[in-house]
Amino acid sequence: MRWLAAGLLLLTLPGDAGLARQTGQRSVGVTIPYSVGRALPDRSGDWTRAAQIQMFNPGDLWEHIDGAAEQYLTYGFQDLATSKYTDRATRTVIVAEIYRMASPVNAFGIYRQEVSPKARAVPLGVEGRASSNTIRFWTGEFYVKLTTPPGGGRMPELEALGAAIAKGLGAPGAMPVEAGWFPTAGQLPDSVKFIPADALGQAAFANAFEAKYENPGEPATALVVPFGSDKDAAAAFARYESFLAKARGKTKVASPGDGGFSATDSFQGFILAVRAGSRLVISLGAPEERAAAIVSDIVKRLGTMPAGQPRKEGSR
Amino acid sequence: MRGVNRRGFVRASAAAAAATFARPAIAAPEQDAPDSAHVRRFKPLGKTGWRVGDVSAGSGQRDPAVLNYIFETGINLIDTGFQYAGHEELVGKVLPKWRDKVFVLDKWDPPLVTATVTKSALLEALDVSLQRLNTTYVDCMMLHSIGHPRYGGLERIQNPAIYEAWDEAKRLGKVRFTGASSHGVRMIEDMSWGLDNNRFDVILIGANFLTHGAEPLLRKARAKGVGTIAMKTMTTYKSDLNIQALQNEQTNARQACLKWILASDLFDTLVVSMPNYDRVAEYLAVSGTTSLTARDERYLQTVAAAVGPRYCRPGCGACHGACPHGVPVADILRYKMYFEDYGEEKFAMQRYGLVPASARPSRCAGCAAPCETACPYGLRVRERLSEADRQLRFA
Repeated sequence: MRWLAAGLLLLTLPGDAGLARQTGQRSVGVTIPYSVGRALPDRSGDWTRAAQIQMFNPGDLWEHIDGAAEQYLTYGFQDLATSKYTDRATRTVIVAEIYRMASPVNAFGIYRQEVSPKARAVPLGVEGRASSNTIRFWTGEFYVKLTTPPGGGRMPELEALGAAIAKGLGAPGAMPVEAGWFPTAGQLPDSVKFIPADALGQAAFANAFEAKYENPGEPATALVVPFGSDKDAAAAFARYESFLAKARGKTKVASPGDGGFSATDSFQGFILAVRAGSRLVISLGAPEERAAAIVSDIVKRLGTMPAGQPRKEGSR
Repeated sequence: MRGVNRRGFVRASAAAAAATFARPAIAAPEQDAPDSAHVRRFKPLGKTGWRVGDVSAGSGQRDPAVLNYIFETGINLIDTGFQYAGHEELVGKVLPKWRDKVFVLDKWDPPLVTATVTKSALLEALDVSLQRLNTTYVDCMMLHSIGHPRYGGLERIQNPAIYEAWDEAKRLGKVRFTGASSHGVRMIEDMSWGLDNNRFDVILIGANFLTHGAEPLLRKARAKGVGTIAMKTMTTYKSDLNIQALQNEQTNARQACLKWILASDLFDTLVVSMPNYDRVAEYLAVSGTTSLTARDERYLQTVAAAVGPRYCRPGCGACHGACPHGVPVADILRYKMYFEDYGEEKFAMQRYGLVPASARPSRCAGCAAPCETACPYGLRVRERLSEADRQLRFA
């Protein structure tokens, strides 16, 4: 019963506000969010879509991506439309997946979580990349993944299908404004990430953003964790400081922002953490002077830039 | 959960724990964990020669420092997979430091493993995983989600290419042991085939205090020296029980769920998602458990009362085909669960709308309800189907 046997019927019914559903002998117009399936074209080049479009929601996503579902849920997964395209001549199959996330930031987040920055950039959506047999991109609140079997090749055709899907999903939007929190000097390409929960393994650190910076050895990390109020940020900061109570060389710092502390952890290296109002700004792994410069720059930017998009219900 | 810090948040006696550690034969941690959060019991993992902690790490970490800490505590088995959204890569950031001390359990992407997949495609995918994991071998390569109709029937795991690929990978030193994971409706059948044909060294199955029926399978695995690992130990697919009746007792209830597995002699270890330091400490606090307390039993009763009456257990599917009218019993009960428990009313109604009128529970009136006879958990299936029909149909 996973397959929507009547999927095509439902998905081709008119109505911009949603899909009119036909159920048994009753027909009731109800707005449902699965119009995303419309973005899957019937054909693309030699590829023909299967008659059925399969849908998954947070309750049964595990049936589609067993083991990864919880991660997707943390990233604000809402629903998934997926179908297969087959080339009749070669019987090669493309699996197309459109994940609708809670917001564009969540789509950006799961995309950046899964994609390899080493993969080839493709002009799809806000950002896309192609590996040997997979194309991933995000556009608006959607994360799209197109996969052929290993060794399947035919990437130009995969890109063409991706372009058709992207067109069907509407205007792509833009990078999250939060990406602008991080100075670009020395920043590794495509290293900004959205971390919806448990940033730095701290249960209280949610909806964080991080960027990676050039550094001898492992890249350094800069992290911004927003909170609902200065008080909440201060409480979480105190707990984080307590967590690092036994780190070496722990030293209070008076600025930037509202001040904080520095310390050296055996795994993370030099840590500089400050609170700036309702946000925590943390540098990990960068040498002291570099850390101070990055954190100061971020604090300055936070004071002049918008706070970012509020998370929708369902996101973390 | 109270405030914690990494180096001191579990108050259980470190000294007592240290005195009773059964150190792993192969995989003893090189250094002591920086606090008292520590594995307190190690058990042989089948005939692999490994002794693994009774609590092992599932995926869920997003920070390599957390995973490094997990290994510092003595946890020496990590469960990952190709499909785990970047988790293989995260493991790869930490693994070199721990490579000979940690048992890496990896899995192929489920859709890859079909009745027609080739040996070369499987070996190619293995190489991708090895690259991501930053290692030259995995300790156990598993078939992921067997017994799940979505990915195919038994013919899927009877594909000889799988076993040729495993043999080749072992010969090349890329894989040491092999196995399978499942919590699908045909879990027991497909796992049994693998055990009967000596295909698996380790099995990973969905199991918790509400599930029954897998015991013969587990005993068979035991008799063959196959390692047994439990997952889905909290009953729900999420590692957060989120049961209203528990109020502020979520931690205790989660721990009781783990303790039930730990107290069983049918499992070598369990895997549980450990996304942050708090959860690592919470779960390790029950390591070493060999029996349940009356308090644990009460928590389990609370969970059972909330979840049990509507919980279709992993690997069950006993009601499949039981209905003489072709009502898709398990599907409809699942739609009802979406409606009631996940707040996915529209989705549930949409799914239900696709059930043909001829297979709706309206046929249940006057029926002898063989579905209830088939259900080994005593769910009041007919009543719940009728409720579902009222909830999910469009009035």
